[in-house]
Amino acid sequence: MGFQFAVSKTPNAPLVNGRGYSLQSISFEIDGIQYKFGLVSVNYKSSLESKPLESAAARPVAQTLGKVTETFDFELYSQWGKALLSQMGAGYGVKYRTFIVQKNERDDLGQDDPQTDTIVARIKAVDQSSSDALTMKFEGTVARMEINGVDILPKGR
Amino acid sequence: MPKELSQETIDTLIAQHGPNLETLELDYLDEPVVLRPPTSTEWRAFRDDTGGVPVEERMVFLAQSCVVWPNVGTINDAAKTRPALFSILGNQVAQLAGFQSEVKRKKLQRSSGTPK
Repeated sequence: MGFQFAVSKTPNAPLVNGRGYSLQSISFEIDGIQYKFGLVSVNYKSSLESKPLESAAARPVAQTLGKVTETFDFELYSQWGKALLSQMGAGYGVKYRTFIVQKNERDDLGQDDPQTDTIVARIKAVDQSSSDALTMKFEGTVARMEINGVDILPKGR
Repeated sequence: MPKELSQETIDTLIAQHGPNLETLELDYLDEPVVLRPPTSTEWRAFRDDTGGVPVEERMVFLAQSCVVWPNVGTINDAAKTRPALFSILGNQVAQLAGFQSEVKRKKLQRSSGTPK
């Protein structure tokens, strides 16, 4: 005998970097556990800002390699946020975890075109100041980010 | 047939997760699966339908959260070829949480003929 509840709601569409997806099209795993059912939104970005090396010449002689800035945050429905906090336990701010975002879009030929993004990060803040009391926001400090398996820096940097 | 867990592994799992663990044997897994009961927050998240997701799908979360052996990655890999695995595990976890689909109910009656 299975475990059943009657559900009549229309599923929400979580936002991935501001773009809405159906729950069938995405996955959001935290250390292997599926959290997409409680996901409101997830945002992440990797950027590399370089600076010009100036000389007496009018044009810069070169550019620095640059500094990587990676941001990551996600918002869960509060029950799911509480569950995540209890699973992470005390000291959650000092342990790095693996967050995997998978999304699938159809290309112009109607073929599935999945993308897997991997973020290794630790939680630096849990923000409950949102106007929506039903959600809990987590902000991460990123150690590594791969967009569809590709890092912004070459290996070893 | 899954191989048995060593006594050392059993002792470690009980030390880490408490005594209320149960094992399941599934033909297609090399090792038994050990489950713990969900915490109250995990159970509330599983029951929470704010996102409008059917409970059968939320079973995945319940199962992954409460597997203590083997690691969740092994279970996720197995589920790729055995997609019903999470439903099986999720139902077992629900029972560990105290949920029973069939509960015996009977009228409370005084026992007759018992001298006071």
